[in-house]
Amino acid sequence: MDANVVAPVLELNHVIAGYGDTQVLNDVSFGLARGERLAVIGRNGVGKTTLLSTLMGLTDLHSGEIALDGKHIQDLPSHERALRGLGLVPQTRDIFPSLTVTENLVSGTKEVASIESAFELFPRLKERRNNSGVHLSGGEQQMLSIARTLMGKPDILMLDEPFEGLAPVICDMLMEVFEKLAADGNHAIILVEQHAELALEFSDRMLILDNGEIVFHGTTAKVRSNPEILERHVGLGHSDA
Amino acid sequence: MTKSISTSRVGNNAAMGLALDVLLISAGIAAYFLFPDNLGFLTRVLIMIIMVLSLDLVLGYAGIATLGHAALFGTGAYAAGLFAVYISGDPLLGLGVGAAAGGVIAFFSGLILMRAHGLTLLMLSIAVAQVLQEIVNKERPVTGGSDGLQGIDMDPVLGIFAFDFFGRTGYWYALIVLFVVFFFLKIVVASPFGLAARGIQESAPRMRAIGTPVYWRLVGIYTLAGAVAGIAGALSAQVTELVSLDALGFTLSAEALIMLILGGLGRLYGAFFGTIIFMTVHHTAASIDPFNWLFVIGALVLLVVYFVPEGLLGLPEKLRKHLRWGG
Repeated sequence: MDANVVAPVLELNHVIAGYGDTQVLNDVSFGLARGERLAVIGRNGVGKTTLLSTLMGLTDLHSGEIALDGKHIQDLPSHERALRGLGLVPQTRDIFPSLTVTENLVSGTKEVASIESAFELFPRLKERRNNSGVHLSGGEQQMLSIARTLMGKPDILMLDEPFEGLAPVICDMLMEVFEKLAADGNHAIILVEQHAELALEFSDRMLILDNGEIVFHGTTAKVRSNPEILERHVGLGHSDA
Repeated sequence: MTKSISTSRVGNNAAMGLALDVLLISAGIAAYFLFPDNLGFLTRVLIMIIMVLSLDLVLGYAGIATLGHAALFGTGAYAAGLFAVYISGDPLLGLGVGAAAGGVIAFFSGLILMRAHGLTLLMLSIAVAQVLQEIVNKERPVTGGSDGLQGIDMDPVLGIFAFDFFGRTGYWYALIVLFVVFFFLKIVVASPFGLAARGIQESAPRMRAIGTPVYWRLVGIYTLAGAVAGIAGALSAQVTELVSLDALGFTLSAEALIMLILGGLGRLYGAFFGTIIFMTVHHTAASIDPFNWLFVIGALVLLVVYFVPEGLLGLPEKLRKHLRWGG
């Protein structure tokens, strides 16, 4: 998919953001079209998570614009951004440990009926629906975190290192779910990932951050055919990842 | 296997909840026949349970730390009292007025309070109650000031059941109102609105990120709790036919908090057990030693906080674990 042809659903223009006076992101601009799969990679501490947090309104935006469906959202609070179609699955998962799976899913939505779709996507959660969040495995907590975000019916699903610390079989299962979500064409997906192999496998476009700046933005096919791009910017060949 | 375990656990919880409900209703009915000479005291217990239920909604579910809950109780009490003195002695209308007044004060004070956290929130909540208490004190011609609001004369409940000297009608009236409020709150806390309150307590930023307007949700919960505390205050005014400045006092807020901590936060049932135990110990200890009864309450709170921080509701689970390890 070519973002130059399809109108972007999400657009960042010259975004400079950080925490308080500390600047983390520096002049970040890119667009994302509906149905597109964008991977954001980079070394530790280059601003990947800050990028997602900035989109969600959880950091301090120093300057720049963020538009969703052509409307500026940079001044909106987090919950308004979520209601307008941004969905973040945080690295920390942030499930509510004292609530059951079902309660976690309905806690942030009025559309309780969507819970069946969530269970369809993650049958494991249906089996565990009466278990407290604290009694779930890491993989189940990640499924719950993703399902809870999907309950808000986001147009753009932002995944912050969703495979971290999970068994390969769970990673494969989650990857299948992401593929399914991307294939329906309703969601654009931003995947922040440390493992270049997973990012290459999933995305059709890649964005490499270094020191808060975009140092590469192009198709995944281009990265595959030029492994030195990863070597130069991330410090490894993708076969090492 | 997993499915059957979790299903049976939920089934057990539901069965236990139902058993507790039946037990509480039965105890409420039995108390009337077992302690016919103490109906005044028992009615005060029922009213305080409603007040503590309201505090549980705020503190136990939404994590809003407050030491000024008496502001909402007292507002309901004075509103219902003034309504009875100047407009109508109908108890149910008065109850509605008390609920509305408690809700309105909670809403407007909540607009400020819900922007604060921690110590600031605690101080502000105390300040709201103190300001209201002083306003009531200054408006002596209307409120009776430090003499209290007098001249409350209630009509019979539903035009049939007149309030009597022995407190029989007052007891049944308070008991029914208590269980209506309790079952209503059970529905509320299980709804997405109530679950959002628990979600906010566990992670407000996360709730924002999944589309919940945290501030307004907290204001909403505080307003609902205000209405419930207003009902408790209105009941108190109607049953005792007197409202004093103590209804807005810090002592009432602090005692309600102790009752909730004793019983256990965030489970509604804790309000029943904590209030009954606190008020019974208070009643008994104060009659034995009117000067040092607070020592007993203090010791009780220390024991519960140290050994069962989940409150008395956590005691069976604690004992079960202890016995299992022992075995």
